[in-house]
Amino acid sequence: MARGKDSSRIGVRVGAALGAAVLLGLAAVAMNAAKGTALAGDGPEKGKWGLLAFGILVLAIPLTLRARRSQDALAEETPAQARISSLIVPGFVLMAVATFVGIAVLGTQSHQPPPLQPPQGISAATQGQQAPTSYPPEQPARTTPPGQPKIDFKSLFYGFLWLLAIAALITLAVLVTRWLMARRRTGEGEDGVVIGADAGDGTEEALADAVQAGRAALADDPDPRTAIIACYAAMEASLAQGGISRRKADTPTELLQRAVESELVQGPAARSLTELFSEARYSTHPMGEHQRDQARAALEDIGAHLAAAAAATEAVHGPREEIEI
Amino acid sequence: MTASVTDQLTPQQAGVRAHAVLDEIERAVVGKRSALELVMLGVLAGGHVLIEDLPGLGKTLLARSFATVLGLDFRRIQFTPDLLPSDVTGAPFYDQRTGEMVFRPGPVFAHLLLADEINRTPPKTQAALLEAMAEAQVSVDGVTRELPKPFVVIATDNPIEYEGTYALPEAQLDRFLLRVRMGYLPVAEEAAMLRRRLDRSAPEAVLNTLSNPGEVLAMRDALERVEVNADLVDYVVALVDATRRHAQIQVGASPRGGLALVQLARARAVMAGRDFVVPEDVKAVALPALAHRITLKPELWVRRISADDVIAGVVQSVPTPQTTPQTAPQVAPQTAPVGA
Repeated sequence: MARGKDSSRIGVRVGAALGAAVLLGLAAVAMNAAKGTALAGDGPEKGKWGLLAFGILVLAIPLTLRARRSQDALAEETPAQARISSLIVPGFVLMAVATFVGIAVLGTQSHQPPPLQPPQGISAATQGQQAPTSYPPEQPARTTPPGQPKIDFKSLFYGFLWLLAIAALITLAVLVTRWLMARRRTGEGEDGVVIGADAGDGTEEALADAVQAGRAALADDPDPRTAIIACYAAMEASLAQGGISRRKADTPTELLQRAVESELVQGPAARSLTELFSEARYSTHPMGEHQRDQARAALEDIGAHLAAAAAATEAVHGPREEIEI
Repeated sequence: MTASVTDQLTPQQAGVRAHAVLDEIERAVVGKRSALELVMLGVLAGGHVLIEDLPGLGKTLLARSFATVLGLDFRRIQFTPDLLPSDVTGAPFYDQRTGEMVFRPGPVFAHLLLADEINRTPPKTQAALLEAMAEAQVSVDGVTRELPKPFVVIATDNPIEYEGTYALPEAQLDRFLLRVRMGYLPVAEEAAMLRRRLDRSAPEAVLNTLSNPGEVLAMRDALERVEVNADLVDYVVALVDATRRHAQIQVGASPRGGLALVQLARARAVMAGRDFVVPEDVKAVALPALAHRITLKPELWVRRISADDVIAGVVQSVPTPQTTPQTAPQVAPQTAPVGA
């Protein structure tokens, strides 16, 4: 669903870029800028600088506001993103000015061929002779009918091609960047949830491993404190295998909250184990055997919950690989 | 319920009493439990509280309720542009009967002082109060006078008016242990507040006094028995350091910010009935403890990015301590519990 939304956004952006290119082209045609500057051209909208500036502002202001809103919507920015976003307003102003000046000076340099010179030999042979006078006298040849502006379609065509090529390049660069970013995110989605981890497939096995590792830690370690820490660490590692990985700025409570929300673990038991871990990890209290027993009881509750979940899955999807809990 | 000055309280006992105080205050200040807890953290941590929000949200009521329930001597100063430093600290006056100059203490000589709209007075008068906050004493005419203990300032700041106000400089904001924002009540709770007002047929709820200055000091003393793991100290330092390296921050938090973070985290542990700090405590108080201590780069006002947003981003980017300790945990010797 989200991918479809992204695709439609890309389509809108590509359409907007192409629309902008077409509008620029139309503006150039309207002023016949290829003939000369917008002021000196002979198009129907020749010399209407105010109209040109207004059109560019109408396009630039909504685009600037939209870009600003999208930047503001970002919850967190990297320093690079912050620098880029700080350039948005001056960047758009610069682009608007560049567009305005670009349209104005497009085609300032004339590409008309130089006037033909008479051949040297003919000129020498006819030197001294007077040219015959025609009757009626010849009028100077008109290149265009009176009142109709001359349009250099070749220059216009090349101008369009340049605009389209630039638009296509920008669109391509955006698409490639997005594809690369999407590819980098593949394997780990937002909120630390690994994409592709199916809660009904590998997670229960991973948590069953956690229960086994926790049991082993609680049984083997003579010190209850290190046993509880090792038990919690095993559960955390297996949660990561099952799809809920610990983010670097996560506290144990935040990790627990996400695990409970995803229904991977049972709330009270996992909360009890997390509280025992916090005490073992961040206090210097002597930890007693009763706390080891509490951790063991919490672990057994988690194991029972997993067994129930496995049984429910088997009832729905049929027998699967044996999970030893 | 109350304890004598000499009694020692365990962190758990201090936490129980603090919650009882909050429950009583909540009878008057409805639906603001989180803001009340933050103010309580400031009181427990021995600091001063800046409440910044719009008018009419109950800031004055909150301060007065704390004074009543904690049994503290309460004074209020309405800061105005013509207020003088001597109006805050007190001044000597001529006693005609004895023919001597006698010092008349100002409103600052109280346990709990409400400095209402502190940004309405010029910096000279602000500085007089802020010096008293930092030193817990007042020097007038070459004589230094101790302020009563505990001494808590709850200052309010109106953030929406600019005409006729004097914004607190960053160095003076740093004197406040934390900044609290109250915010509007949710619609349902606002309706409940109005119904309560209609039911009791009185302007304000009458609160009971549940504590006294000695017990407040004992509750503060309980914080010293809350331990902070070495990894958490590193985490606090990393948070403060991140504010100094952040691309959007011009001036980061001072070392005083780190101290505030530690003390507030300990106070939060007390409120939770623990005698040890966990990363959740540090993260929970990072925003109120640090957001008013940083200066953002000037261009950020255009993008409507606040210090709260930046600090929230910092908290979400600095790694918390690893699950497994770097060094073997030290175990404290078994000691007899203190207090009753």
